[in-house]
Amino acid sequence: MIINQFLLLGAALFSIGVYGVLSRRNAVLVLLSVELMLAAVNINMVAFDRLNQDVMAGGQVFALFIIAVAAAEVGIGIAIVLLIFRNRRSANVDELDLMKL
Amino acid sequence: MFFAVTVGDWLGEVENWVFAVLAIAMVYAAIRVVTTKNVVHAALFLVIALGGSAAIFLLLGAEFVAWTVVMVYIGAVIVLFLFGIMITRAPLGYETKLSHPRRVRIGAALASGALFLLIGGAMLDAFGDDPVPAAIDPTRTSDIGQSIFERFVIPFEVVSFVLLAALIGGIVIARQDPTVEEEEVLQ
Amino acid sequence: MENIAFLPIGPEVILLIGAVIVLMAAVTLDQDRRDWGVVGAIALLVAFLLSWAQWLRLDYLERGQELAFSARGVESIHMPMVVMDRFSAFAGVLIFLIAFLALVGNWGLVKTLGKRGAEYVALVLLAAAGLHMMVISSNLILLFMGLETASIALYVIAGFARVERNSDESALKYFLLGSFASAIFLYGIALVYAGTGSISIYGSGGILAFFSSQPVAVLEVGILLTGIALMIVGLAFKVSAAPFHQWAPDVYQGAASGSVSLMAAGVKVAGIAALARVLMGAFPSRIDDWAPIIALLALLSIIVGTVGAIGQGDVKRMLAYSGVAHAGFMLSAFVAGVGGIPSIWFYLATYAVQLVGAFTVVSLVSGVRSGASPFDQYKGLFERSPWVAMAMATFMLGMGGIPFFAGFVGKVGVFGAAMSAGYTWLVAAGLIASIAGLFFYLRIVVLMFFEAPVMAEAPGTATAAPRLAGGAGFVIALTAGLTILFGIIPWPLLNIVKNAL
Repeated sequence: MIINQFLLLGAALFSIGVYGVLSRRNAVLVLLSVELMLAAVNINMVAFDRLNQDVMAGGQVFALFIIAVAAAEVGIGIAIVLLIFRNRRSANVDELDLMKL
Repeated sequence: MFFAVTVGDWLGEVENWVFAVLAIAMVYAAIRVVTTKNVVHAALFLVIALGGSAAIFLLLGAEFVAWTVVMVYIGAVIVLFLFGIMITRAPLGYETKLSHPRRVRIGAALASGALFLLIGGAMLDAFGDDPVPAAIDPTRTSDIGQSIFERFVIPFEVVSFVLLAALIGGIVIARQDPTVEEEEVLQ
Repeated sequence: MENIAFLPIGPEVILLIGAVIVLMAAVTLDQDRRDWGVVGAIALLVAFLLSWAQWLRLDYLERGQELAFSARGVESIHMPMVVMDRFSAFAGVLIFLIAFLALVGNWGLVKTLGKRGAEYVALVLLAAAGLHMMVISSNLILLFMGLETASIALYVIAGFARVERNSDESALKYFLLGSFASAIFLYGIALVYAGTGSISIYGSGGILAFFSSQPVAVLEVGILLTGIALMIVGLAFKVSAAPFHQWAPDVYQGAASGSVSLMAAGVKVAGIAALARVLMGAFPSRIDDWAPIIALLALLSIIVGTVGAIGQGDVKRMLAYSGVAHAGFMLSAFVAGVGGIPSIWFYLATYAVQLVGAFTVVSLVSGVRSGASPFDQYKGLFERSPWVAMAMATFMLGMGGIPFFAGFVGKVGVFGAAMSAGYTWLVAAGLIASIAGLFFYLRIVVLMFFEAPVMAEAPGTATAAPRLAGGAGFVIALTAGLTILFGIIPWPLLNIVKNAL
């Protein structure tokens, strides 16, 4: 196994996630794309951890913290989406155009 | 040339076959997450991508992280997503208005492609065909525990700040309050 | 007790205890009683005093830095988790002062929130703790955790007053762009970890110095630079530097006026300070690589912010765009490296104080819960309430950089720093933008003093003459006083920031 196969997989998933954030209109789908980006970060973190042979397992611990924070973020995100939906029956980002840019 | 390892050598290792299958499945699933016209399918494809990442962690010998991903992401986060999708009564069938128009999508594809080339190029340049350090033992969970509670104990405590804020926030935002008119009646 | 030093993380502990007490008191006390509000204000004051105590202790020890270890053993001495230096002590003083003023000045908002007021106060305390954690961390993990604590609390605060229809959109926009920025920032951290094999900001003198003491690993420059660039992008989102500023005007306008000051001033202080910590603490030897990126961001922010602010018809949107320009002015001092830090601090301190004051005036004039704040409401403000109008004029002139107001000294400082680093084109753009910026600051002054009042239909907003009283009056008077004081005699503050490294 060479290290770059893991790194390139992570980079590919991250780029796909960025594409999703930029191209999606539905708030839930944007959030899913962000989760994809975080998964890519985790793959890279763990791969680098193994590459560096970190005695303190810093990369793996960081991945665990990222998972915890991502779960909290999703909780808030779904709550906000629910709030929006209750107010205006839609979860699409750019239908929310009360204010112009 | 970046690679001294030939394709034949690479395919000689069994792990690489496993990796290749996983990687193709994950990239395909990820692409479907960002392109599918069905919200529920997007969440289910994300399960495949995350499950693949758990398998990758096992390949790398990070067992505790792998099982945490399975439990937290696939067990809890995806369920939360599906809840969100169901409650907001997004149409379960196909919908065309989930993405921006083609013009925006092309721009997004160019931007993310450029990002991939930039990062991937830097990685190829830096690591070439460096092998994953040979014969690595899986990280023992007790080592991770030791590390969290010694070196990373302050960030670990700070997770409680994050969770407290998320807890308060979730309650505050999702709780149904009386509407303005009802409040006036109450007063 | 030897393993964890409590003074460096004292403010966080106090704020967490305060938040929990506030929440518990709110459920046990009667609904009409708001005694818990005092607990929140006291917790912020104690945190503020603890930050002063940190500064004094460093003076007493005659040391530049005290590192808090989180574990015994050799590694921990080289890789501390929390750093207490004059930089973090000054940042703490500033952040907790802003949070305190933002809470006291908008006490009206807490009152209108009724039984949810306690939750609002608890979130403000948690946000302040998170912002402070960003500046005391000497490890990228803790920096990220602090960023997330503050961000999650602020996402909720942005959506708090949700009777207003704009508030939920503002929260969603803030949340989606914020979590996108966090993910980019994280990827930057991962690449830095790859390039250096460490996530400590301070090893023994910078991440690269730490690195050179590790003979095993190999420094990967390409990866490292990509990582630094992604981290800069992530933090630029948070401090709303162009071209990553699009969320700011919408979020400021959509959120309740009473809650914007923390969101705007607090995040800017912590974000700029964290960026300075990362770039100058961890990568001082790479300044030739990151300085051009920062200079480009600064130039774009100055141009976009100034041009954007000219066309606005709403005070909150105008302040958001001017905030983009101010972020650009502060970033332009980064190119001078560590030598630029004092001028960044002076600018940041005076700007944050003016911004809190200005947003407090906005919440007085347009109502603490309202989203929009159109220019019409400010017409003839001088006739209706002269003191409020004069305070607002002070803030506007201060931000515009008129001599004898604090903003002028700050601008001289950052332009001087950029000039000394040889970025003449940046200084030239900044000077032109400052002069153009006078146009929209003076426009508000003209509206308030020389135009006839326009009576709005909604009662309780523009028709009423806002009075300078209570918490808001105290905050406005204090911030206006400081703006003038540091404009006329800036030397005390200049002496302090000179040491805040």
